[in-house]
Amino acid sequence: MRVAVIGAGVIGLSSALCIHEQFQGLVPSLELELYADHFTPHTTSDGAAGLWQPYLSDGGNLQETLWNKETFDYLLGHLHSPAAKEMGLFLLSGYNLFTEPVPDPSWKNIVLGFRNLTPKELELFPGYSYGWFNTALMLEGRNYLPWLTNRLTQRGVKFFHKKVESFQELFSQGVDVVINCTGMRSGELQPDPELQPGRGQIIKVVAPWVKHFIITHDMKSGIYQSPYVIPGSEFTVLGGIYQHGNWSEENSAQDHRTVWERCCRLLPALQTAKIVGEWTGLRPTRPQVRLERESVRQGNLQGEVIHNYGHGGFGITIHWGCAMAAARLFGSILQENRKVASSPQPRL
Amino acid sequence: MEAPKIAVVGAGVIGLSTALCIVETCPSSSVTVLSDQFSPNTTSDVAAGMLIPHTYPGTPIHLQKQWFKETFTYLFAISNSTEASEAGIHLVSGWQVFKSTPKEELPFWSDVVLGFRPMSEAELQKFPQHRFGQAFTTLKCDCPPYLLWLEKRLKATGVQMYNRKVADLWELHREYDIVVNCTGIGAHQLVGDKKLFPVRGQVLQVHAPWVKNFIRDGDGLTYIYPGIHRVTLGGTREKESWSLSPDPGTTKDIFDRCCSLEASLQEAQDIKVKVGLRPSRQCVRLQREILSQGGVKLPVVHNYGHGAGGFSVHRGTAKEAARLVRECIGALQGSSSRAKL
Repeated sequence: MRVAVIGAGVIGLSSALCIHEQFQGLVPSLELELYADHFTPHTTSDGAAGLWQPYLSDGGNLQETLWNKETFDYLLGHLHSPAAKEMGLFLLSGYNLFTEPVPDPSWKNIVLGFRNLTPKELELFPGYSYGWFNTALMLEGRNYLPWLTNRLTQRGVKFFHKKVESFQELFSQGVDVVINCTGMRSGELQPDPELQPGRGQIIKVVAPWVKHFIITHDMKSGIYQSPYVIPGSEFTVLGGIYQHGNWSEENSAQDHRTVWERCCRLLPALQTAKIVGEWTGLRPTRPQVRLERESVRQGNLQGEVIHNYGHGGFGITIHWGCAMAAARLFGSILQENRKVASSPQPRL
Repeated sequence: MEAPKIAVVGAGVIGLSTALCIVETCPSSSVTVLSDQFSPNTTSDVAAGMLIPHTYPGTPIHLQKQWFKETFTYLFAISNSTEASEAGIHLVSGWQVFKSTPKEELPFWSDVVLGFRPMSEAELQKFPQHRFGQAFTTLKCDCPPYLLWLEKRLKATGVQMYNRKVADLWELHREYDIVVNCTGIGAHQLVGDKKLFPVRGQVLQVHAPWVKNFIRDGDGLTYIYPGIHRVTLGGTREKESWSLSPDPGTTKDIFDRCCSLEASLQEAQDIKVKVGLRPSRQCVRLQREILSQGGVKLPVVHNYGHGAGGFSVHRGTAKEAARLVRECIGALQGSSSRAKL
């Protein structure tokens, strides 16, 4: 049984690992391969700050909330393992700030110690009159992706640095199942008008005195269009750009100014921080994550595709729940194959 | 009298902050700082500088709370300004955990720090050996940055600082009108205060930049305090030990205790070991005294004996010391005008 994962961001690597961990022992003939044209540190996941935090509202999508919770609990369980530092996993506390009261988020009982901000805490953030404090997790892509890659390599998964042009290309090589984790460029393999870029631009600074994440929200503008500051293990990410439909991967001087000025207004001490980098990434945005099976047939080539893309700005937050769901879909494919293999052949 | 000449002896957090308060409240005075040690070689430089008060058995609680509140408010304003990173002041959140529920569930300072509340069950799961805990956000003063920032502010107002070992406060009587004694543990010898005793603390300063929250065992012996560049791991409380040499057995013990609170510290790098002697006393000695020899008087204001709580109350006690200095100035001016009649 040959399985090819396309995509080496957090979604592709974790899906591959999850499937291999669950099924390699059960299916000795399982051959898992991973294809991507970009590997760490050049994926979208590498640029993300790595904070576990879903959007404010799950839009009634309970499934995604459950996947978020699965991911958080999975990571929390790894916090005390010796691998935590290598994974880029650590606890981080911080603030979500609003200009008006808002309902509690779907994830309030998933994170640790969720509570409203006190008036004295709000004095730290002039212009914001309401907010939350909680402890969440950081999972830095620049550490987590290499860690996932090492686990996969140790398990004998083969990596191919190549751009896959079509599902058929893989089926014609004898691949039975494709796991499509191609993020922003899924549309090149199969058009999907629902998948749109949510362009983001961030500035990386050295500001080691910042020990909290601070995420502001402008309910009128929408998610990530208001300044945010997220301290990592080596540098701090300043952001606050979300441009729907903008495919440009170039850094924009205007967006730089927007992010810099707004973040410095939020945290005056940032004015003394040294800028060490700038990055633009395209959040693979979709009204909901596409996580489903599809039988793809062209001519006499046929195969199963499991789609796992469209995680927007919450890929790291939801990745393990989705990887487990993809693995369940893979399990159902195996189950069907077994049934077909063992069902009695019609006698002529 | 023209500008009273004031000597502040000691250049740790108490000496420097007291000098600054004097400059702020007695602008006509001339202030000089004298010390045999400056940052990074003071006791303050070893301290993590966390604003979590120590309780002095001999001082009324309302006064300790006032000192803490004044200090917290002062530093809170700096942490929120463009000077925060230079001054080394930053907010840090975390947990104080207890193996058994403490008698006092609400310490006197719980409404001064931010967001103080009991830890949730889910949070306590991270600490299987502990049954109760408190979560809050407080401030940390990193040294050397904070001391260097104080020195810079003092120099900007014209305060001179000299490296000088004062063997006897009286030796200053010719050059200075008032002496402020902020010598910390040095007061044991300098003024012969037998009520002052060292409580030796050994700490490790490590590189572990992924540790962003503080963790403290309520017994005060084991703590993890993330600073700007290094994390301070502690510690010990050895009464009457005067040794400034790091002890390797203690180093291992501190490291093990901290790793049991935060497993990822096993990966900490570049471990530096430091020792400080907390200048401990039943209560802070914050009072005036007049030294006199052969009809000559020298007013002294004492401000020492802050033990484990120096950073937590430094600004509050500095302001009180400055007030006592103003009283001394008033008394000197009164007697000098009487002398003119």
